[in-house]
Amino acid sequence: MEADRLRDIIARAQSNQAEGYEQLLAAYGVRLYGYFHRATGDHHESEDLLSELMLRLVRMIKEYDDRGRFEPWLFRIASNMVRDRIRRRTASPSPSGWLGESDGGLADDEMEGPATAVDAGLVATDTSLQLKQALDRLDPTVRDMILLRHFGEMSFREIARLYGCPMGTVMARVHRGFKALRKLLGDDYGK
Amino acid sequence: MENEEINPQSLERIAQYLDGEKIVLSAEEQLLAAEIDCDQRALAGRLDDVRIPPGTIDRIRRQTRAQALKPVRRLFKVVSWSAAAAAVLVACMFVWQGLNPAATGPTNQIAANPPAGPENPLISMANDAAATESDKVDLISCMTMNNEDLKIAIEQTSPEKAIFGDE
Repeated sequence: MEADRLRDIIARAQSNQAEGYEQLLAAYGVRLYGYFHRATGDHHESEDLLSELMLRLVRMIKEYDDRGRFEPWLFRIASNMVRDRIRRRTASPSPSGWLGESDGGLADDEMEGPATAVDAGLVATDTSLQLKQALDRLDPTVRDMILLRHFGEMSFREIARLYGCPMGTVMARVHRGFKALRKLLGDDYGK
Repeated sequence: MENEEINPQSLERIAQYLDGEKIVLSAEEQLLAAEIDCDQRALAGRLDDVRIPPGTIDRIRRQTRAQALKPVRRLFKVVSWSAAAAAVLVACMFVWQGLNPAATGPTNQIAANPPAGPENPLISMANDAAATESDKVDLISCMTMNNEDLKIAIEQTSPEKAIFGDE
C-alpha cells in the first residue's frame, strides 16, 4: 500500500472514523488472518484473534506515531496476542487444543513427538495440512519469527527488537527453522 | 550449509544484508544468504495458502465498526439521559407547584413586592439610613411633643404621609 494512502487511512482511524478501521481491515485482514492461522492452525482461533486485534486497534491506534512502519507495529501486537494465547492455553489446556500446547513446542532439532490434534473440519478444507503439521513441530518462537518475516514483512532487526535478542540469533533460528521445515516437508517444500 | 560453522558476527551481517542494508559479504556468507533467501521464497507461496471461511471478514468488520462507534454512542447516551433527567425534574417541580399553590407562589410575591401599606413615619424616619443629623434632632424633639404638635410637625416634614385624623 502506498505510504500516503496508508497515512490517510491511519489518520482516519485515529480520528475514530469507522471507515478508517474498515480500510485497515481490508488492507491487512487477509495477511493477519493468515498469520494467526499459521500460528495457531485453527480457523476459529484465528477469527477470534483477528477480531480481538481489531478491537485492540480501536483502543490503541492513537498510540501509533507516524515515525515507524505500520506493519511491524501491527504484527507486534498480533505476535504478543498469539504468545499470550499460547501461554494461557498451556496453563489451562483444553481437549480440542491447538498447536500452542500440542507438543509444548518442540525445538527444531528434536523433531520426534506426538502428532498434533487436528480439527476435522480443517482437514477437509485446508489443503496445506502437511505444512500445518510441520509448523506445529517447530519451536513456537522459531515459527513466529518465520511467520512475522513472511506475513508481517518484518526485517530481522525488527524481529530482534521484538524478541529482545541479537539479529544474529534471529538469523540462526530462522535458518534452523527453514532447514527443519525442508526436512519435514521433503519434496513438498516450496510446492 | 550448517550455520554452526558461521560465527554470530557473520549471521548478523547476513541478517543486515537480507534486510537490504549495504553489506559486503564473504563468499561463505553469500552462500548462506542465498540459501535463506531461497528458503524464504519457496515457503512464501505455501504459507499464503490459507482459505478464510466466508463471512469472517464481514463479521469482524461489523464488530470493529460497532466498537469504533461506541464512544459516540456513549456520549449520546449520557446526553440523552441527562436531558431526560432534567425534563423529569422540571415536570416534578411543575406538578409540585400545582399541588401546593400556597407553598411557593404568595411567599415569592411577598418577597418580590412588599405591601405598600401605611407605615409609622417615626419608625420610618428612625430606620432611614439616609437620615440627616437635623432629622434626628427633629425626631427627638417630636418625642416630647403632644399629639397636636406632632401632627403639625409631621405634616411639615412629609405632608403626603400625614395619617393622624385626616380620614
